[in-house]
Amino acid sequence: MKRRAFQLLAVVSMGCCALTLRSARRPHYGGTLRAEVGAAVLSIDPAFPTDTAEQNNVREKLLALMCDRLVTLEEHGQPKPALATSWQAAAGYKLWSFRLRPNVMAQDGAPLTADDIVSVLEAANPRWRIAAATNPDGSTMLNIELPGADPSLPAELAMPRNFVFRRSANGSLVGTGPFQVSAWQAGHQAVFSAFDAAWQGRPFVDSIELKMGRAVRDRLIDLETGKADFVDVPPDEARRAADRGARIRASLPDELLSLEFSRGPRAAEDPAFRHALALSIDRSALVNFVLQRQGEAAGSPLPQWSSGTAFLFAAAPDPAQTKQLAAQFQSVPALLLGYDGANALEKAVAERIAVNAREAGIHVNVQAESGAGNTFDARLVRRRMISPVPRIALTDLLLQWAPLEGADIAPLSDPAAPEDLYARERAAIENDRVIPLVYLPETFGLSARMRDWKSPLPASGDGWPLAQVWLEGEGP
Amino acid sequence: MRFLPAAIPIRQSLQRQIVFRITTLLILLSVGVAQTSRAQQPTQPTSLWDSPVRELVFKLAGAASLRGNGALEVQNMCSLDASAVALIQHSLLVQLSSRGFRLMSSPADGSGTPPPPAIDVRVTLSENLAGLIWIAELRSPSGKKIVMLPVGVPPGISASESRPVPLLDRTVIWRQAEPMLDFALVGAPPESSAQLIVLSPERVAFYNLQQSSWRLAASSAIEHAHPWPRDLRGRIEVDSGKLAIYMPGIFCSGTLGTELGLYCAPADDKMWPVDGSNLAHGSVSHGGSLAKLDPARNYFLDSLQSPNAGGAKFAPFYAAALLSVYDLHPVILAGVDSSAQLHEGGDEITAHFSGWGSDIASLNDTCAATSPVLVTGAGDDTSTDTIQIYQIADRQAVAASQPISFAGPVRTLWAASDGNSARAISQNLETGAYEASSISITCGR
Repeated sequence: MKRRAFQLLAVVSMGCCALTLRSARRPHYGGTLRAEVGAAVLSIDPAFPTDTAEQNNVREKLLALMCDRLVTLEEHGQPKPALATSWQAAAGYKLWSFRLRPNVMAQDGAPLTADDIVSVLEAANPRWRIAAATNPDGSTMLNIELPGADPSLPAELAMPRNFVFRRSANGSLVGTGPFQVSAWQAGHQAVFSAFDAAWQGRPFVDSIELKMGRAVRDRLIDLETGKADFVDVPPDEARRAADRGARIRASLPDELLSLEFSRGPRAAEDPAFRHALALSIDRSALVNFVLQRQGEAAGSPLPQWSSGTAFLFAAAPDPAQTKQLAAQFQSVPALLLGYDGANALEKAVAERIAVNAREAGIHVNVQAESGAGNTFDARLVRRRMISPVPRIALTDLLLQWAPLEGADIAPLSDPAAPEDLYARERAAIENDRVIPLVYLPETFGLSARMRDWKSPLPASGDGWPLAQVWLEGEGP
Repeated sequence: MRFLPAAIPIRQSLQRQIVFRITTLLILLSVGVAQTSRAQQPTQPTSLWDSPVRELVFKLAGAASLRGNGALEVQNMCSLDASAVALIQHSLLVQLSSRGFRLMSSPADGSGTPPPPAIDVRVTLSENLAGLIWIAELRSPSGKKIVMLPVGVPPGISASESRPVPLLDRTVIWRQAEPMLDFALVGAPPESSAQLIVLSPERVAFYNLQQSSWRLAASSAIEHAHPWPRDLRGRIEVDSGKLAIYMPGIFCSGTLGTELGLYCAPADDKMWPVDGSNLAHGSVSHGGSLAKLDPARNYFLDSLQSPNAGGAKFAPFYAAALLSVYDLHPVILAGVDSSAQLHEGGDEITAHFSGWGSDIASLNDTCAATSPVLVTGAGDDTSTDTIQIYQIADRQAVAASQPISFAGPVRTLWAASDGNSARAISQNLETGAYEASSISITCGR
C-alpha cells in the first residue's frame, strides 16, 4: 500500500460558528417542551366520551404519555414486551398467560399491582375473564381467558383501549408512563411532568406544557415565532408551512379518507352509478393540489406500507369508461355529498370530486353536514387505522362498513395469508359502496431546538415520542 | 446463460416509499475473525434468493400453467438494490424455464413484430409492515392469477457498509438486533482462546471462538432495582483475566474462565474510567482518569480524577480525552452544553471546540498524529454519524483525517485500555442493528 502522511484537512478555530455548530448527539436533560394542538380534550380519562375523532386521537396520544400497555409493537408490527415481559398461549389461543414486569412504580409512588391491571383490562374488554396468579418464584402472571381463539391477542393488547392505569381516591388516572399530569384545565391547557421513577427511564425534558383548542393559524405562528416546540398541523397546511420555513415531519399515512354511500332508494343504489363516480375521481390531483403532496392516492382500504398490496388496486381515473357508464344516468337527480363543515380539507376534497364528476357527466352537489336532519347519498368519512397490523386494521374497517352493506362480516382468519387479506380488501370495495380516496398522514411542526424526533409506527398506540426527544440548549 | 436483459423490463421504483427495515433479523457476524469494513463488499451468490424464488414459482405453477411463450416483468417497489433485483430476476427466469416457460426475446434483427406473449408474468418485489412480500401476477388466455409470498431477507443483505478513508480503520466485530452498550475482545482472533464479551442493557454475554464463528458460551443478567436512564451507558474493562462492568448505579466484577462468575451490586458512587490511557490498573495512581456517572442521567459529574486534571472541578460532561501533547497535560471534556472544552492543568477553560459530537476518546500517538482525539459527529439519533481524528495545536482543533462514516449514530466511543484503538457502538438506521467496531489509526496506507 502506498504510504502517505496525515494531511491537515481543516481547522476548527475556537468558537468558530459557535451558534450554528453547537450541537451534540447525546441527549440533554431538562427544559419545558411547549406543545399546541387543535383538539380541545375535555378529559384524559377514556371513560369520558369525546365529541370528535380528532379529540379521541389526541387523547390517546396524551394517554400514551402517562400510561403503558402490557405489550407494544416493534417496527414490523410484532409484539414486544412492555408491562408484560413474556407470554404464552394455550388451548388453541383461548388461554393466554402474561408474566408481569416486576417493580414497576406508578406515579403515586406505589407499585403497580396485578389487580390494577385486571381491573382496567376487564373494563375495556368485558368478554375476557382475567385473573392474576403468583408463581413459586414470586413472579406474577396474568391469565386471560377469551371467548374464542385469538392468536393476535398480544397485538391487540398494544391498542390504546388497553392502556393500564389505576384510579386514585378522587378518581383521577395514575399511570406508569414517562409523564404524569400535574395540571389540567379541561379543553384549554395541561402540564405533564417527567416521572423520575418511570420503568422505561425518565424522559429527557422536565415537563410538557400543552395548549389545546388552538387554531391552526395560531399554532403555526407560535411555531414560527419560537413560542411552541411541537404543534399538530393539518396535512393540507403542512406544505405551505414548510415553504415558510417550518420544520415539518409526517408519519406514514394511517387515515383513510373515503366516500361512503348510504343505503336508500336513490340513484346511488345503482352499482353502475357508484362505479362511474369511482372511475371519475382523480386521486392524484387530490394528493397533489388539495393535500399539497402530503398523503397517498388510495385505491384500497389499507395503505401500501401496511399490506404491501395497495399497488394492485387501481387508483387512476378512467374518463372513457366513466363517460360510457355515466351516459345512462343523465336524467337522475344530483347526488348529494356531505362533508364535515368544520374541516377545510374535506370541503376541498368534496368540491374536487364534484368537479371530476361533472366533467364525466355526473351531477354531484356538495353540502356541509350540519347535524341531524341531513340526508346524504354519500359522505366523506375519515377512518384512522386502529392498528398497523393489516389483519386487525382491515377487520376494524370491515366492521365499520358492515352497515353499509347491510350484512354481517365474516371474520378474517388469524393469521391471515396475504392472499386472503387482498381478497377481502377487494371484496370490501368491489361494489363501490366505499370508494377509497386518499391516505392521510399525521403531520407535525417541530421547533429547531427539538432533537431526536422519530416518527413512531403509525396506529401502534405509541403516541407522540415526546419522552424520547430532547431540547437543544437545555441541560444538563 | 439465458438471461436476456432487453426482454425483461425492470422498473425501479423512483420513489422508494417504504424504508427498508431488517431489524427483525438478528444479524450476527458469523465469521468472528475481524474483517475491516473496507473489505465488506456486498457479494451475493445467486443461491441466496433461489429458495424464495422457487417457492413463488411453485405457487404460481399451482395456480396456472406456465408452459408456453411469455414475457416477464420484474418491478421493484422495495429497497432491495439493483444487484439483488438482478439476482432475483435471473433466478426467476431459471425457475420459470424449468416449468416450460419460454421467454420471448425482443426482435433485435428487425425482422418484425413478435407475436403477443401467451403468458404475461409480472413479479412485484413489494414490502409491507412485516417485511418483503413478492407478488406474482400471471395473465394468460385462461384469466388472471395472483399469488403472494412473504419473504425473509437472507442474512447479509443489508444497507451498504460505509467505507473508511485510509487513515482510520473500522473493524466490525459484532452485530446484533438487541441494543448494545460496549464490548471487549479478549485475545486476538483467530486464536481459539479468543473471547468476545458483549454488554447489553439487561445482560452480559460471553462468546467463544469456535471454527471461526462466535458461539455463545454464557450470559449473565444484570440485576438492577432502579430503572435505567433512557440514554443508557455502560462500559467493560478487562484486565488480567478480571472483568469489570460499569453501569449507572451498578458495578459488576468477575473473572474470565470456563466458569463465569459475575457479581453485581449497587454502586451509585462508583468512579468510571473515562479514558483509555494506562487504564489497565484502573486507578489514578497508575495514570487512569476516573469520573462518577450520574446514575439517573447520561453524563459524568463535575469531578475528574486524573494526573492531568488533578481533582479539578468541571461542569458535567459526557466524555473526556486526556492529552499528552505538551507539558500542560490538557484535558478535553465534551460538555453537556454541546461544546467541547479544553482545560490545561485546571478547571479554567482555555478553548472551546464547536461542532463536535458528545463522544470523544484520545489514543496514543501514531505516525504523524500526535495525541490524536477521536471525535464523533454532531447531530442526533436520527442521523448518520462520523468519527474523525483531531489534533490540538495552539489551542485549536485540527481535523487530521477524513471522517469515517457510520450508517447511524455512534452511541458509544471508549478508548481501549492500551490506548491504541477505540471501541465504538453504532446503530445502523437502515437495519436497526447495533454494530460493535474497533476503531484504529492505520497510518501509512
